[in-house]
Amino acid sequence: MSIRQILFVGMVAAMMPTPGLAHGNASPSHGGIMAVSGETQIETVRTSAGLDIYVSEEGLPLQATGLAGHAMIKDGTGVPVTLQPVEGNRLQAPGFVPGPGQAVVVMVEQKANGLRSFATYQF
Amino acid sequence: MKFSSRLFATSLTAAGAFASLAIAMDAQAHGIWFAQRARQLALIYGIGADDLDMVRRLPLLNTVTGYDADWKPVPIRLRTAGAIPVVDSDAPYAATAATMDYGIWSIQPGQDWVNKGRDENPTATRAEHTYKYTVHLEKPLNKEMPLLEGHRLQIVPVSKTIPQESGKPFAVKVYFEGKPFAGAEILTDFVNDPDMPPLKTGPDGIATFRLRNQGLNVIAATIIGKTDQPKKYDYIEYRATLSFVLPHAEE
Repeated sequence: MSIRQILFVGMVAAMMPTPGLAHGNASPSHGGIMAVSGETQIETVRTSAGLDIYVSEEGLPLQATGLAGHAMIKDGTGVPVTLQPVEGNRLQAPGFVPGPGQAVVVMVEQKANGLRSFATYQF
Repeated sequence: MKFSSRLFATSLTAAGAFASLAIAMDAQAHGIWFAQRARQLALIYGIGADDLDMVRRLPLLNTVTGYDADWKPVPIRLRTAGAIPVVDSDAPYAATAATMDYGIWSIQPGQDWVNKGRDENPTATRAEHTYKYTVHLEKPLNKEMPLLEGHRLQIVPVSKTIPQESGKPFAVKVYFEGKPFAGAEILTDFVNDPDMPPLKTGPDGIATFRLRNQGLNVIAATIIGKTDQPKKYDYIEYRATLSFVLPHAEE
């Protein structure tokens, strides 16, 4: 591809309408369910060990060690389970396995600024 | 700071019959309202573009309450984040509210308002007691807004569904002490046009206008009531705001 072709492709890409989502990519990367709260993307994956939660902001992963939060059943039954950092941008709600049809709320707090993001999932 | 949350239900019957005074409402014209700041929901004290020191005024708050989409209480609290107080919650909320007793103020010609009554400032030309209330709608609601405990003055949308485009007609009903109030002064854009000629609610307490902003809308209602301590202040000013956001187009 010549320089001229590369420039042309770049210009076309820049002129294309942006995707409908406001901030970042809302497609799940780990086979889970993606939710977007403002600029924060929270992907939740149900596993046999609990919920795995991946947090990104405008497509960039946030370090799990800088995050806190909990997962709870939306109707308030049960006890909220504190999220534990695992690695990278992955946190886990150990032992929290919602049943079919249950709605779950995940709260993620960024420790640096106290920003809390909420995401609701229907399993 | 943490406050309890309780809903207040009441039956509404007669039209408001509260005696208002013909006093120009240019005194303590400030209000409180919720608005997004740095991605968090903050409680603002000010008027127009003046976003003043709410942290210093936190002790004046009487209640801060949260609700879900069915208007069931959700515990919330305010956390001081630098120069602003922001809402913290352990659960999602759809609406927030706050009440404030701003206290007694008086003024002398050519001077600033002081936090004293006429009894301590006998040469004051005006003395007042002001109360401020606010309700913020954060998410779509399943039910119509009820009257909230502690909100002596409250702006209630006539419909639970708020138009999502600016320019659409929007009707609110103003309640004082649980009854529709006629003659309340309505500012339809308290942040961007605080000096606009106010509308007035009709005999049924209702005012209808077109939504101003495809963004933050802060609607204010003000009434002036008779003093209950004439030696200290001449009148009582009640100011309520209702805020919500109309979403912008997808990026």
